Formats: sequence, structure tokens, C-alpha cells
Amino acid sequence: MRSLFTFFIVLLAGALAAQVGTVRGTVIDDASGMELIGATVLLEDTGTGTVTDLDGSFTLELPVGVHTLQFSYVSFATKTVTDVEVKAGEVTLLGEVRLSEELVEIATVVVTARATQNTETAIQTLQRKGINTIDGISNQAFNLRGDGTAAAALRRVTGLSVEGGKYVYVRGLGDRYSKTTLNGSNIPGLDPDKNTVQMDLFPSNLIDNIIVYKNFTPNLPGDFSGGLIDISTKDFPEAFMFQVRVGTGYNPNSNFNKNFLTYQGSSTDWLGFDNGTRDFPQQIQGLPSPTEVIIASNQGNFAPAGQVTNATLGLNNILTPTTKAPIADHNFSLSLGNQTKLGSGIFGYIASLTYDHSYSGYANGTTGRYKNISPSGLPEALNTERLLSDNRYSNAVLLGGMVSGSMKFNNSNKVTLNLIRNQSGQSDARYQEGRVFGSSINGAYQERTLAYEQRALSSAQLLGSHVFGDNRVKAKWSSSYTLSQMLQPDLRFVNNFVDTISGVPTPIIDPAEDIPPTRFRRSMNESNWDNNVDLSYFFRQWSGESASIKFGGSFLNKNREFRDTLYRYMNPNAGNVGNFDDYVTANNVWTWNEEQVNTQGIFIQDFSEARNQYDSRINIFGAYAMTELPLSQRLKSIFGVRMEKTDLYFTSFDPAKKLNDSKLINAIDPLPSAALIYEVMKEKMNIRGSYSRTIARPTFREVAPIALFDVVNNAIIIGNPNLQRTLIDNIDFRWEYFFRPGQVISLSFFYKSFQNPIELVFSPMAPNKEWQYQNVSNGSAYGLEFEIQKSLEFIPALRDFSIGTNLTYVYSQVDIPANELAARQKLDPNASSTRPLFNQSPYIVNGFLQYINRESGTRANLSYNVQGPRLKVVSLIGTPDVYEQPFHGLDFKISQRIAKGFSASFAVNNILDSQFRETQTYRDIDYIFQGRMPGRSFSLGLSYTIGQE
Amino acid sequence: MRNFKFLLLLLLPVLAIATFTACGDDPVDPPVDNSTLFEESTYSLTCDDAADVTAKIITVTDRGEGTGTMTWTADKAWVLNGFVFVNEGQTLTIEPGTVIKGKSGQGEKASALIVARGGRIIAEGTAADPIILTSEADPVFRKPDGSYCSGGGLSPSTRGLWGGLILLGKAGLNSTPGETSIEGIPTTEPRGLYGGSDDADNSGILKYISIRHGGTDIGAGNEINGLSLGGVGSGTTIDYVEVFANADDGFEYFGGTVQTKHLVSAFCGDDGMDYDEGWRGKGQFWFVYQDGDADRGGEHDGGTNPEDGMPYATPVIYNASYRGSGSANGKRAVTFRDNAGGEYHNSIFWGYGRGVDIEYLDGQCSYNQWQNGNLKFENNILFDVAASDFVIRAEGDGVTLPANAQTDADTYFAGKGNVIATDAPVDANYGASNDAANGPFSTTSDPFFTNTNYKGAFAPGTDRWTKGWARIEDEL
Repeated sequence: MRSLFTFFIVLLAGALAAQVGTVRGTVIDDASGMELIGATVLLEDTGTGTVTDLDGSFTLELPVGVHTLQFSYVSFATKTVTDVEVKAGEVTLLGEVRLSEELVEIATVVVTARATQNTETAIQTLQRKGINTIDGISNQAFNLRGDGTAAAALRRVTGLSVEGGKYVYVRGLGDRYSKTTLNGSNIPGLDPDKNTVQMDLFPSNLIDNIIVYKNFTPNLPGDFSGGLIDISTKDFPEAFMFQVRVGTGYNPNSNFNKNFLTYQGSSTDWLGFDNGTRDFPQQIQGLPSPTEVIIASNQGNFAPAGQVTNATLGLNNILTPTTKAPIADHNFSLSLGNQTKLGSGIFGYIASLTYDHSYSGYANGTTGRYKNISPSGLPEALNTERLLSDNRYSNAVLLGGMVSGSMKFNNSNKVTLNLIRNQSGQSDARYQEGRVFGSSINGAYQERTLAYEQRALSSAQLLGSHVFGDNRVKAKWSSSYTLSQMLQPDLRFVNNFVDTISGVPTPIIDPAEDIPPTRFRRSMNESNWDNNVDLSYFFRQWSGESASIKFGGSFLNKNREFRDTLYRYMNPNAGNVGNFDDYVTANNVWTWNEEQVNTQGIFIQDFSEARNQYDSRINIFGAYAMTELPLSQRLKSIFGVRMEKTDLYFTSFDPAKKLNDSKLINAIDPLPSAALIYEVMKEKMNIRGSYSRTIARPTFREVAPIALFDVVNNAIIIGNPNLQRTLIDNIDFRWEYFFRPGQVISLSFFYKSFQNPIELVFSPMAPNKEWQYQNVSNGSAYGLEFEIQKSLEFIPALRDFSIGTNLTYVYSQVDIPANELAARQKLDPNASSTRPLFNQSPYIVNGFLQYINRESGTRANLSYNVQGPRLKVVSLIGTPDVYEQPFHGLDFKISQRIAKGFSASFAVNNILDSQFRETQTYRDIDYIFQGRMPGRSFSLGLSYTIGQE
Repeated sequence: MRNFKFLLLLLLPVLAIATFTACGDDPVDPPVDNSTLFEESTYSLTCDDAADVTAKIITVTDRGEGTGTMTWTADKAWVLNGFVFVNEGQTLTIEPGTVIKGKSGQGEKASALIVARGGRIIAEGTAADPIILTSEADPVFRKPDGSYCSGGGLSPSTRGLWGGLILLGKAGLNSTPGETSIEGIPTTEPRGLYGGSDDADNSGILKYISIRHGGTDIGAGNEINGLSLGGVGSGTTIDYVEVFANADDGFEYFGGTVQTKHLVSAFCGDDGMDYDEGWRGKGQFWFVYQDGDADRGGEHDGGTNPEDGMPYATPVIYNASYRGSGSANGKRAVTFRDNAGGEYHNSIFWGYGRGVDIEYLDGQCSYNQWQNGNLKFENNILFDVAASDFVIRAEGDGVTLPANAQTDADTYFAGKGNVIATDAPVDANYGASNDAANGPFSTTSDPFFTNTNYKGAFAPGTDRWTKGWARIEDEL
């Protein structure tokens, strides 16, 4: 650490020594927002100058003073920028210098240096002018609004919603239809049951920009239909930048709450991983079954019996949560970066370290389970089967580091190596108490869960960009290898009843009444190797408009290993063994030895199932050809086709499944795409239309023929090796009006037709609740999106305010499989033959009110988000399905510059103190399936920044 | 030159496409072998009389084709390795005296013998040579001379070492859609389905069978019953069957019409007798013997999904003896719920914390079945029951009983020949005594039933019918 610091001091000192300064900027095409490669930058009236590189960037070392720079490019009007002030040893940033194609009369445009900074950003231009429909957020925008993570920033994008502060959904479509890439390469999800990536893993100070693609074009991977979110990290910071942020947060639900539930974990939990404290004891390896113990004991061998006793006693004996008030949330981040000359080239680097430790939780949430026990008679009310008060608290740590080095060998070639390591750990303690109706014990039911989950993501990316052939050919390639690991070392789930039959509350631990006390260990390792090559050739079409042809190929290989082991406490002699506070004690544990075979007590038994262990891999080859071709000055087109070949192989550890590296999916899919954009009003108004075909592949977990018990839904969820991929036809139209730079109003319509969509389907033939992933025959979704972003500068008093809103309305439907429908209609002849797509919101509303005063350094933002009810659980026949109800999220943040480089911020989240609710509605009454109040949270932050703010 | 370069660029993706299309010809997966394995081995043990015996073992592994039509002979021990099915169209015959053992394991590794719909089992033991299904850990073996070698046996509290015996048939259920997967087997295994429309279906014969130490979790938290009868039809014969030390219920009927006689459910971890999904069969001479680990004597559900499904559960039971784990343990003798009906006649229930309870809730329920005459409780004896001898119980949040429901129940109980006995209704041999040996008795003209002049499973003054073959005899 110290040597790193010394390194920067030396760098700074070196720069200060010279009586020169540096000017940096990027030259872009005003019309397209694309970088201009090989544009000339000259110090006025001298021969001193340079040309822009493949990023459109330039660096000029100039003597101290005020200068005028001239920018020129073939067939573009020359631009003169005056008042460029160069200070000794400092970097003057010109930002984006925009050049326009030459019109007959205008020779030169003159602007001041300050003016170059107040224009639309390149990303905004791309959004306005690009043929593909995109939404982008640049680093400037995060900084302007003070968004801390990628997840926070994405909440403002049209049609996006962020679930649980982590997972991003596009247009309310399930995560199956969204995709996230990092610098254009795949990154595996950390959650085995989700397709998407946890966006809070990416601190915004590492990110250059985020682009959300809502339409497929052949140069993008074909497996997204809602949206593709590409996060680009910084490569060549324009000037030395250094930032330290510290922050703290408070939510009355958790911080300093003496009822906060927790349990003794490991001494490294604060770093986001368990140091082995939660590992199962050595003796658990090859744990003999009771049968093996008896056989051995009958033959005089008591070693297996001893092993069972020792393993039972060797397991961590904490099974119940304790209370302890946690301190305030705290977080810290440090980032730095710069570029420097190295040989004849430029070396850029960034490094960052982020630490976040937060507490959350709630008391008195509700867990309810209901059933229509007489569906044909339509009784007055649903019958309550289970009603529990839910208390759950978590303690989460995120530790992230990134180092990236980029080398620009010359103006035409650059290579970047990106190393990322993210480590996160979350400890959960939960206590539920209430009634389970219909159990044979007539008393309170109690359930306790202690969980820990750690996730690690290690990624190495090598990226290259080259231009050649008079800057008319661009080549980009990337190779990324990512290893993601998930471990739940010891999930403890115990429950008991409290019988009051004799008047005295007595805990009854009776495995026959519910799930026996269980401990799980689950792990997942996934490697992901993604390789891409893209070639673009730029040319002028017949009428002189710039056009391009693109080709490319990709190869993606993913490998996953999933292991699930579980042990249950058996107590065949039942008898009451007290409560879970002192369950695993020498007195309670079945001690088997020569003298005492078959004495009373508890012991653990391995209940791991071979079918729940699997290895799987997938290879996806892709190749494409496409063109971006203006048909006239106002009508542009983009069309092409991508081929994707999918091979999915699967190995189940259960020999009965007969899957040994068996190929489950083998498909070659042509994915065509065509889009048109018509410029109705020059620079201001566009109409877009597009068609594309995309693909959605089942996840490994979905094809795995495993039957995992889902504690939340009290149901078994079964994978399906027969699943095939879904093909989706997408049609989009959009009208957009950019009435001022960065101010927009737009209206979109989209239609998606799903062939064989994958849905979680209830199996009416199962004796207990059982769902399976199935390809249902057809589904469709269509929607409208409306967006407006407007400054309030037309009212003088409100000139620093702007407002924005976006509204999405979606109608979706999917066929209910025949046998389920038959069962439903037997009870209710009017039962609908369709239902909405899983997890699809019918509407999404986002809105914000923003105040930005650059002079005083004040920024404030009030934002609102709500999503319509979404289908979460398909219920038993005759009982209404479970929907997640709208959560009205209102957040406020204000930040103020307090001294040069120093800024302070204050934020309140969930101002409305909204309630999270999943409900079943029957006869206009909402029955709460799951309900909780996450509470308001308050946070304070302080940052110190050198360089670009 | 530039054109050449451009051409080269064009070629690249063409090459790429060609390459990946070419690697499409992966080797095809090898054909899957579904045949059932019968692997022979030997096992040496020292028998009770200190003689060394070498037993032959056949380990059966079903990889899809089931047992086939064959006979399992008494000269070998047959070891079940995982689920072993008698597939549709196959008949498995088991010789008297045969010992079948389940391998250790749970979940999908659990061992169980499952007679699928359309399959048949002919297992006719005799009182002298019963057929035993037990755990691999149970040292019981048959010697070459035909006598048993018990090797000490396992205690009555040793449960859940293997699965159990499952019969699946084509008789009707009241659940929707009319066929169901047996507990613990995912619906993706078609051989685990039961239910249909042939109420006279015949799954074969079970006679003089003792099923011991089973009941492991066969999948996702489902413990298996000793003998599970899913949609079994009235053509099936079940007589003299014992379930001993099973981790879950002794017997459970899932719909169907099967008729059973001379059943023993002893030392089971959960309920003695259980029915669900609309069982409409008959039963006589049932003996349930429970210790401290057990739950209800009888747990009787009408329907699951929906609970008011037709046909209703209306079995008729005569001469049951349910001996609970003691009045201090708080367990219930019999629960009727989820719209179950059913009849108990000439039966005895003793040693329970609570007696018979009938569920009441808003909608179609067991209380209605009782009101409509589909639930009868006549000429029975309760003894040593701590409280709530015959009650209507409100179920669910905020549900209250109709006025007079309990008063009506009390009147009914007393008016139908039921007695709360003050003297023990059974003698030392569990034969009927005192009130149990006296009337009134229910009588019936149904030829399935034997009209008796005693209550409970055993006549006074004669040898119990469990003598000679049932494992419980060693514990009484």
C-alpha cells in the first residue's frame, strides 16, 4: 500500500517539475456521437499538434498559458476552441469536442473551452442518433446524480426496474429475458437460480458507462429479449483521479436495534467470507447410515457408531439466533487512475477498493399460507393453514477490488487487461412464530433459520481494439475468463411446536409434524470463458452517407458444478429433548458403543440426494454479418443475421437419471434482425421500427433433474432435462422527440411472441406441492412505453430543476398446460386458459425531480418507482395465485460541495415507509402470503476527490 | 490491395460459420441400458444356535424394466437396491418364507418394492412361513432347512432403515385430476402414478407378510408408510399383514376400494392407520399398538385436492383395537378431517390423551359427513382416554362451531352404544374382556365381515391370530 502511494507521489512530482501542462479531450462526430479517429489537433498558428487515436482521444503537452486549438477532419468543418488554459503540471480537460460535417458556407466554428463541456454527451448522441434503440448512462451522469452503484444508476433507465437493490429487470420481463455483460463479455450470475447479475457488485466509480440495448442486433449475443446491459469499465482516465468515500447508514429496523437477530459466525465474516468456522466436522465425511452402523455393531465393530456420535457432537451446536444491536452501516471506497506515457505509447490504469457493510431486517413480518378447501362451493373465505410472525435480519458485507491496465501502443492499437475480484457474504438469522393449523399439536409453532452465503467473482479480461486501413477497418476482440463461486456453508433450519396441553408451554421437537431439523451445505462453482471478435468496415454509401459492414464470431463456454448436501437430526426414539438452545449436547446425543447400542438420543443422518449434484456445461458458437446502411439522409437501416449454435451437456450424479455428459440441447438458430430509423425532424425527431428474433436458454438449474425443497414456498421445485430453448420474435416501434440536448419525450410500442417459453408449472398429480420447469406452448407480451425528461429552465426560478418520468405498460399471457387447465376447469369451468408471464409486471412507473446547481455544488434528487402486481407463485387448484403487490419506493438524496474536493451527502430511502407484500386475493380480500416493512433508511456520506469530480 | 483485404474480411465469418457447423457432428450418446440387474453374492453369519450359515443373496437393481414376471424363492435373501418396481403387465410371485431386505439409503437412494399400476404381486406366506420384508441391517435369515435365524433382531425403536412396500392400482380417487404420484416419487416417474376408474382392480395377494423397520424419507421430506396402498382395487387380497417399527404410518390408503383383514401396526413412528383421497374399502380385525413415539391411532382424511372431492371417503371398519402410548402422552385416538367419512363398529380405543375428534370448518367437512350419516361411530369402547372423548373440533383461524354441535355429539355418542369404560376392555392377551366382551354389537349382512360377539381385534380365550408369524409377538 505504501509503495503504491509513493508511486503516485513520484508521478505527481514528475509532472510538477516541468513548466508545461497537458490538454486532453475526445473528438467526436456531432452527428453520430461516434469517435473521430485521426482528426488533427493543432495549436493555432504553429506546427505543434497531434492526431486523435482509436478512441478519438488526444493528448497535447503545451507550455503554460492560454491557447487556442484547432480541430479538423476531412470533410468536417474545422472547429477552433479558444481560452484553453494550461497550468503547470496540470491536465486541462476539454471533454468532447464535436465536429460537424462541412456545410458549404461555414468554414470554421469558434467556441470557448468552457463551452465544450456543456454539451450533450456522446452517449446521449448515440442514443439519439444510433440506429439501434439504446439507453445509456455515462460516468458523468452517475456523478451528477450521485449514484453509488450500477444498480442505483439503472433505476432511472426507461423500462428498467431493480429488485431487492440488486437484480435488474427490463420492461418487467423476468430475469430470463435480461442479460448483463462486462466490457462486452459474459459474466456468470452468482445466484444459481437467477439468470441475471447482482448489479450492486459494481461501484459506480469504476464504471465508464452503462449501455442498455433493448433491441437485438446481430453483433450482440442472441440470448436477450428484454434488454442487454453492458457495463464498461474505465481504461484511460483523462487525468489523475483519486477519490475516497466514506459513508454511514442508519435504518431504525436494524442499526442499534437491540432486537436484531444474529448468531456467532466466523472471525472473517466482516471481510465477506467464512474462515472455515461453519465447515462441517471432518467426521461427517462418509458418515455411515444407521443400517451400516447396526451391521457393523452386530459384528462387533463400533467405529461407525462412534463416528456418527462424534459427527453429531462435532457440528456447530448453535441452532438458535441471539440478539445483539449492530452498529451503523459503514462503507468505504477508494479509487484512483491516471494515464502516463510509456515508451512511445500511453499506459492507463485504474484501481479501486470498495468495502460495504450493512445491516437490514424487519420484525413482525407476516408469513401466511391459505387454501380454498371447498372450491366448488366458493366459501366465504380461504382457510388459513399457517400464519406466522416473521422476524428476519441480515448482515451483509461486500468487498470489491479491481485493477486494470491499458496500453495504447500508438494511435491505432490498444490492449486492456482487467482483473476483478468481488467477495460478498451475508449472514441471515430468522425467527418465525405462529400457528400451523391442522397439526396434531395444539400449540404455537416456531421456526428458526441461520444462514450464511458467500459469493466470490474473479475475472480476468483481455480486450483489444485496433484500427487499420486508413482508419476504415476496426477490429475488436476480447477474451474473458471468470470464475464465480457460491457457498452456503451451513444453513441451519429447525422448527418445533410449543404444546400447552398441560398448561405449561413445553417445546416439542417432533420431526413427524414438519421438516426435521436440517443442515444444508450448498456450493456452486462456475467458470465462464467468453471470446469475441468483431470487425467493422466503414465506407460511404451511394449518396455519401457513412455506412458500415460488421462481421464477427464468438465462442462461449460455461461449466458449472453444483453440490448440495444435507444432514438431518434423527430422533427415532422421539421423546422430548427440550429446546434448540441446548439440543446438541452430550446428554441428548445418541452415544453408541459396545455397552449402549440403541440408547435414546439424536444423531445426524446424511440425507444428501445424488440427483441434487450435477455438472453441466454449455458451448455457444456465434457468427454474424450485418450492415448499418443509410438508405437516404433521413432513413437509415441496420440489418443482418446471427447464427448461434447451442450445445448443452449434463451430468447427474444419480445413475438412475442416466445423464453422463449427455447432450440435452443441440440447436442451430438463425437470428435475423432488421431496424429502420427515420429522422422526421432534423436532429430532433425520429421514428424507429425493428424486428428481431432472439433466444432464451434454460439455465443449468432448470435443466437439472433435481428436486430441491424450497423452504419459502414449502414446495418441491423440479428441473427438467427435456427443456428446450425458447425462440422469441420481437417487434418494436418508437417515436422520440429530443427537444433540447438531454431532454427527450418518447413513446414506444413493443410486441414479443414466445415460442415454447419456459415457465414454472404446477403439477396437479403431485401429492405435495410440486412445480416443474416446462416449455409451455405459447406466450406473448405487448406493451407501451412513455418517457419524458425535461428541464424546468423555462421557469426562471426553477432553472436548476429537471423532471423526468417513464411509464411502461405491458400485457402478457402464457398458455396454461393442458393437464393443469383440465384440473382447474373441473372445479371452475370459467378458469382462464392463460395467465400472465411469470414475474411480469403489467406496469412500471419511474419518476424523478432533480436539482443541480454547479456553482454552489448542490445536487438533489427525489425519485419514485413502482411496479404493478407480478405473478410469483402458481397456487393449488381453486386457490388464487400469489402476486407481489406494488411497492411504492420514494427516495431522496442531496449532496453539497463543502470545500475544494470535499463533498457531503445525505439520503433517505423508502421515505413512504412502504410495505412489501405478496398476496392472494379472494373475494376482494388480500391474504398475505409474505409481508414485511423494510423501514426507512438514512445515510450520510463524505467524499474527497482529486481530479474529475 | 484494399479490396483484397476487404475480401479477406468477408471470408472470415464464412470460415467461422463453416467451422462451427462442421463440429456439429458430435458422437451420439450411447444407448441406455434399462435392464434390471440380479447380482448374486453370499453372506456368512453365525446363527442363534451358534451354527455358521452361508446365505445366498440376490441384489436387485431396477434400471427401468422392473422385476419382470418371476418368482422370488425362499432359498435366497432378495436385497432391494433402490426402488424396485413390478411394472405394468408383470407379476412378481414370492414364495412363502422368503426374506426380502432393503438396502440402506434415503431419497432417491431409498429402497422400496413398488407394484406399479397394472403390475401384480402374489405373496402368499403362511402362519408358519411368513414373508418378511426388512432392513439389510436386520440379521434375520432363512436357513437351508427352512427355519429362521433371527440373529437377535432389531429393537422396536429401530425405524426408518429402508423404504417399504407400495401397491399402486387403478381404482378411483377423489383428488383432481384422478391420478396422483405416490408421496416421495416425483411425477416425472410414470411408474409412481396411481388412480383410475377400475374399482375392482386386482393388484394381487398379500398374505402373512411382516414389514419391518422401514419408513425412511423417500424424497423431499416424505417418509414412507409400511404398506402404502394407492388406488388399490377391491380385487386385491390383503389379509394377515404386519407393519412393525415403521418410521411413518403403519398403513395408508390413498383412495381406492381395497379391503383388508387382520392387520397389525406396531411401534410405528406416526399414525397407526391412515386414509386419504377417498378410500372406500372395508377393514376388520385391525390391531394398532403404539409406544411413546407414535401419533394418532387413526388419521382419516377425506380429500386433499380438493378436500370435498367425490367420491367421499366412506370405509367401514369392524373390530379394531387401537392401543395408544398412554393417556399422559396427549395423542389422539382417531381424527376425522378434510371431509373424511367412515365407520367404526365394535372397536376399542385405549391409552390416548384425547379420543375421537371430528373436524368442523366453513364448507364441506367431516362434521357434515357425520350429520349426513356418512360418518358413524357405533358400539365402541373408549378406555383410559384423558379428555375429549368424542368432540367436534373447529379448524382454522376464527372458525367457530355451530350452536349445539358438541351437545349433539355427546347425545349421538351415548345413543349409539358407545361406552367410556371404567374397567380394562382387554385382558392380558389383548382379548376382549369386561365391556368389550358384552354387547351391544353392530351386525352386518356384508359377507366380507364376520359378525362377532366381542369387540376389538381379538376374541377372548383363544390364541391371538398374530401368533406364529408376527414380529409383535416377541414384544407382547
